[in-house]
Amino acid sequence: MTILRGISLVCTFLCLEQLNALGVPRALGSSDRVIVSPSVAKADFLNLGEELSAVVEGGAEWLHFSVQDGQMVPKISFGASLIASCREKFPDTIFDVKLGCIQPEYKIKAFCDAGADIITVHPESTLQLGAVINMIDKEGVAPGVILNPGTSISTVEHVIPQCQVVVVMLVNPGYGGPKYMDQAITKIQHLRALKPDLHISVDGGVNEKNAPLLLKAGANVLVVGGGVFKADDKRAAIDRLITGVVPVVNGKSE
Amino acid sequence: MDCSLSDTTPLGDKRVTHDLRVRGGGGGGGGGGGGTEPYQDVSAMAEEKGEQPYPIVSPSLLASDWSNIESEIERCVKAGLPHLHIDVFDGVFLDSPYALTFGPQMIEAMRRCSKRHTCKILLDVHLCVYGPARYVEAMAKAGADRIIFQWEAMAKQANNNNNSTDDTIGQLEQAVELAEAIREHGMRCGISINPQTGVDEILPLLESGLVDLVDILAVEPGFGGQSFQESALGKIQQLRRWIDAKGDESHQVDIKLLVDGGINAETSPLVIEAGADILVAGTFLFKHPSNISDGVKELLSKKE
Repeated sequence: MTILRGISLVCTFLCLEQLNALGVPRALGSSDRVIVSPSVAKADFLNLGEELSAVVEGGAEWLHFSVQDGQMVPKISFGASLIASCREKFPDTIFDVKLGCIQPEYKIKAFCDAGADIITVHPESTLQLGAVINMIDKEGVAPGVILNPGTSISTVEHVIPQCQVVVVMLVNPGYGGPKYMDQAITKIQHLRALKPDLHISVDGGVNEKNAPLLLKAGANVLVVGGGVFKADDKRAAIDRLITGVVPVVNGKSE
Repeated sequence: MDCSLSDTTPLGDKRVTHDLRVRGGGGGGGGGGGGTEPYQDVSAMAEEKGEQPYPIVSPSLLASDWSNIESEIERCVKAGLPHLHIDVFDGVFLDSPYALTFGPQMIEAMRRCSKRHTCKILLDVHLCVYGPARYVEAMAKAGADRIIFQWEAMAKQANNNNNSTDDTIGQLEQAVELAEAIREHGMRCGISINPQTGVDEILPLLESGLVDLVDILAVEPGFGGQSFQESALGKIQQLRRWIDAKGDESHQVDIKLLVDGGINAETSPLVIEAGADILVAGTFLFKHPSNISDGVKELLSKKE
């Protein structure tokens, strides 16, 4: 029995290795831990491979690809080809793709093929959100939704059972500006109660100062930008975000 | 910008000069590995020798490794290809999920690359998006040298006569407005036409003297794996005749003909013979079995 179990374990391991090589989406794991997901848009595009390696080695489990098509969000960022270029370099990292695109139903396959492990969409981008979530799910990729500050949870409640990730935007995407912290915290608490094992991601000016508050409310994924890419010691910066340690300045905690 | 625009001359005498001569990168490269030998610019070197500098090859970076764009640009420039072609597609105007490429941030990164290596790169941005006027300022700030906008993105306006020629008047007005805005922001301007569009539609725009390049697409933009459409050859020939005829008249016309789509060793001699000045090649160069330089030689070699 032990030998058989050993053989089956080896076979499973080999299959997983082959599956990874084939680019089959990776499982997200439990939402009991804090995950740092650096936003690729904040890295230096001249040397993405190096920049992203540095944060992955520093402890980032996910990489956040914020795709923007100039329509859903007022900027054009990048598309499937950039994601595919990065995929080969990071075989074990979760590619967290946020689709700021209109009509995502016609784009899902391209991003799945490019190597997305997660695809989140705006409910406002499509006439039938449920159908889009189904499409993502069928590809074996983790589906999710993005809640802009103006988006209420009621618009996505019907798909939450199928979603593995919900992104709570702290700012209006593509515009920046002031953060909607109170509304975000309320949404996070509501989402955590609605689906305990959901990965709740926060995005839009997340930093060491506001991360502890967001984590306390129930978020577990932090999409971060320049603070991590510009840090000399990326592991320390990522650890501080994960542990919620508030930086001390002039002898006082901020 | 590295180029000068003579925008105060009368209409029809819009001479554009550009100097692609590059300074040697020796010593300034630092520990990064690139830039210990001077970048070669084949067209400038040919000009110095008194030879015809065109046709040239302009690499399309769509097919390159986007996780390592600095190295990819170095590869191009070291192979004598500082004239880079970047397709900015939004996946909206071109209704293809693969047609969402990059925005101003990538252009800015590429411009930084040229500053870092003290070499001159000509960045041609093919802006094939919905509402291209929105991106002119951002592209200028990012460091684009030229914006090539898509003719078919200029919406046709309603007319009362249902006269087909009147449809293009609205497009022409929009195109002129956009071209003027591009030039006001210090960039050069080109016009791109897809396979369905005839050359006659853009001749009035060319008459305005605001554009110095025509981008003839030899495949349907936004979809990979297509073959070169031979209808492009007729367009190149027609435009070549038009440009040469205009050059024979009193005013000078300096409009370059660029062809993009399906360019490889089989199709390159055809487009060169038809009169193309700039050949945009992507996959053929970046996925060439030996290296980019050999790919360029194959594209530009004269076949018996």
